[in-house]
Amino acid sequence: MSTPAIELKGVTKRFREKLAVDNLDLVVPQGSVCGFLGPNGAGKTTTIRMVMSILFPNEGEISVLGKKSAVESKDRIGYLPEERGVYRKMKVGEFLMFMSKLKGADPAGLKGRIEKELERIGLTGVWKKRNEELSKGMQQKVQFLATIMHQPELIILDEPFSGLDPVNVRLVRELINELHREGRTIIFSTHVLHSAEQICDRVFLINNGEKVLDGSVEEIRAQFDPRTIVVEAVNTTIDNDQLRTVPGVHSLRQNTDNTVEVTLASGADPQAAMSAIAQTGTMRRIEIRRATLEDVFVHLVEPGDSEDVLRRKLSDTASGGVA
Amino acid sequence: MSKIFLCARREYAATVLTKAFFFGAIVFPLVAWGAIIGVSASGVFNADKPPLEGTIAIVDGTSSQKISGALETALDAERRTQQRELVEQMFESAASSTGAPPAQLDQVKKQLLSMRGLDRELFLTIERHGADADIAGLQARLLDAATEDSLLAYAVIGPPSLRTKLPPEQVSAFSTIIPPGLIALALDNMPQEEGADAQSNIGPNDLPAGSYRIVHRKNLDPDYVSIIQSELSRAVQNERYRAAGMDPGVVRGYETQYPIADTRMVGDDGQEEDSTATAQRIIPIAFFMLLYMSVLTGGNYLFMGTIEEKSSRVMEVLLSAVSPINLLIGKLVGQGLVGLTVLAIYLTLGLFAADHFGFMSAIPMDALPWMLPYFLMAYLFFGALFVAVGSAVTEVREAQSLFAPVTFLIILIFVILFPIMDNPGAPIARIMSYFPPSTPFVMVMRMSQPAHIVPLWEIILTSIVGALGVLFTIWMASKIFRVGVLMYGKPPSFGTLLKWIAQS
Repeated sequence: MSTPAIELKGVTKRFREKLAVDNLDLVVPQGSVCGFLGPNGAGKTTTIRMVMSILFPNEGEISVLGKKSAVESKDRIGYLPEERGVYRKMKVGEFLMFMSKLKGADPAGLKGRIEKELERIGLTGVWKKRNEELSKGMQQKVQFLATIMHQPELIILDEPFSGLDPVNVRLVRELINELHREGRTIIFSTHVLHSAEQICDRVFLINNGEKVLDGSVEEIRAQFDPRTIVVEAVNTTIDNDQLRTVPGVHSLRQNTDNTVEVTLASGADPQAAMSAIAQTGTMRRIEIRRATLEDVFVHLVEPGDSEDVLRRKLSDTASGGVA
Repeated sequence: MSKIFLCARREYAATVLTKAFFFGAIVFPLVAWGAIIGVSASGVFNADKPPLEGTIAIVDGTSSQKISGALETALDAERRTQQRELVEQMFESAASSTGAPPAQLDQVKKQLLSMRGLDRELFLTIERHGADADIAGLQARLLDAATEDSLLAYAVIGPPSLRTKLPPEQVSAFSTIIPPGLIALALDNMPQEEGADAQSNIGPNDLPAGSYRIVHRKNLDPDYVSIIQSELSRAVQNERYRAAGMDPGVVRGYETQYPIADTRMVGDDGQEEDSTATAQRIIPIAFFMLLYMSVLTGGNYLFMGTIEEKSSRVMEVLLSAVSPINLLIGKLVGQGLVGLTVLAIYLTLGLFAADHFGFMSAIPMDALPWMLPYFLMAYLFFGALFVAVGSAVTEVREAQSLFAPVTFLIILIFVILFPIMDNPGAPIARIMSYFPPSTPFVMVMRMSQPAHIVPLWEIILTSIVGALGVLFTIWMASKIFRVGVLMYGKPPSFGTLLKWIAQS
């Protein structure tokens, strides 16, 4: 196996008495698309800033693209910070030229390449506009371009979807997919689990500075799958008491659309459960629902101290940003 | 290195290639300068004041009692009108005979008229009093605004005999050096012991020497006060000449018949040049202002730019491409060039002006090259402080308390400016040459004064001290900058900044 793009060993970061990242081990293989998940305040941005050598860990080792520090390979990395902005008075074209050159892009033909990319993300004719004249979403796309114009091997995106409308979320997702096909390594942090699910081939989940999940999306699904069966009766209401008696059923959830989600106990046989459920009444459908990252996320993060807060944040994010 | 250059170039372009800079740094000063000259030439500063009407009381302590009469004649409205007309006529004929430009003649005429106050109209009545006049009563009338008393001022004239507290033989020993009247006045006006009454109600015989005094209403225009004062002086002097058997007209003639035609000095090339004694006093101030303005312009842009980068959240994007220290250097270089641009523009304008007004030779050309190192020293010292404060806050108003020490230094430099201008060799000037924040400013002033030679060892030693100061502030700024640029939220206190500096 080739050297990983990013490797963290026992990394710990404290801000005064607060422990932000606790003994974190991470490996991002080259060429992968990794989702970096976790609730607010979990330590995602701190970890990313340490990878970028903007902050330095109190303990542990970080290697980036085979080097001891990102400083040595800064030009091979594209980084979109969470706290991001543009020079408001600068013209869009000048800004992109400046940022690209600052990151060591080849100046030959740079202007043409930037113009082409601007066109591709639907920002034709903005070259001479000031950044402040663009909408927030347009500025986000300009920043995304500034991150990748110098053809970096490793792309680190901190919350790339925040502030984008559904159309632009899809656009950025496609851009990430494309960069992935070109063989670049991409790591991004997000709350938008739906997007992560669609484009990641690897997921890390951290909570309170600790890693709670690390694996490929398929592995993770296998680990949690299949646990949920959705049941919908033809026209009558479902007898929940009867459903509870089905062997292997752990809990039920009545949905508003007249369906019931049946969660199975760990180790239960879904096939046996489904046929047993079919016996309880005339069903329109009985289907196994694939575990979503959200299920996994909530399942893993739930044991934390502030379940309700967390749930609310999650649903806010989901309703705020996902197509 | 190329990243530092890119950052510096962006800073420079974002500052200089803007309309704000073009108008603020170039057009506005030019327009303001031109406007001041134009406006003063157009004469709007010379207000026509309403004629002065009223009474002046003269308390004459001389035995001859002639001063009131002399003053009455001198201030007679009709006589003054005649004099004014005479001057006007003289200039009318001069216009045709000398062929001088009318504007210039007009200027000279105005000056001559104002010398004797003939450009003002006076309708004054003189009220005569003897040595035994009721001074307190006169004083009360000056205060009394309600009654229609037209008393504007009263003058008390002492007897001409000289009375001093010094023994007469000492006075006569000094008299060839300093006029006895001045000795007496100076000695007798010494502060009295505590408890002594404030001077008031002074009659002719209480006056310290053979002197006189004027007491006027609070609201009397200072222009008129000085006209009354100078006319009274002439009247008193004329009376004394007469008492000594001299013709005042003859004495006055001698006083003014032989004026100094010109003051010239030998220039560097051995040729005679206009004397630049006055310009020499102004030039160190000009050099100081030049340095001060260019340093603060660069420093201010540095401060505002850093805050903008933080508040617009572009900072971390930049830091993904350059290290904080390189960004800091890039910013210092870029805005340093802005400061140099300002310096170059104003220096060029200043040299053109010097050439135009004919005091080019007063400008110490050998001190000019020193502007560059001293600019760098001052700019880097203050620029580092400005950028450190800028990096620690997110909004301008948060910076106020952190700026207090910087403001203190700037004010301190201003406070020592004038003493040093008058005395470039004074201890304060030499001490402040070794205080890094003021080193460049003081040295520029000392070196631009042709009459003051700064020894080479002092230039070298102060430069070393100044450079160490610069290294210290840059080191400090880099510590604050590194932590500050990513800090949002509550602005740090002064103590927090010190903690950042102490952190490794």
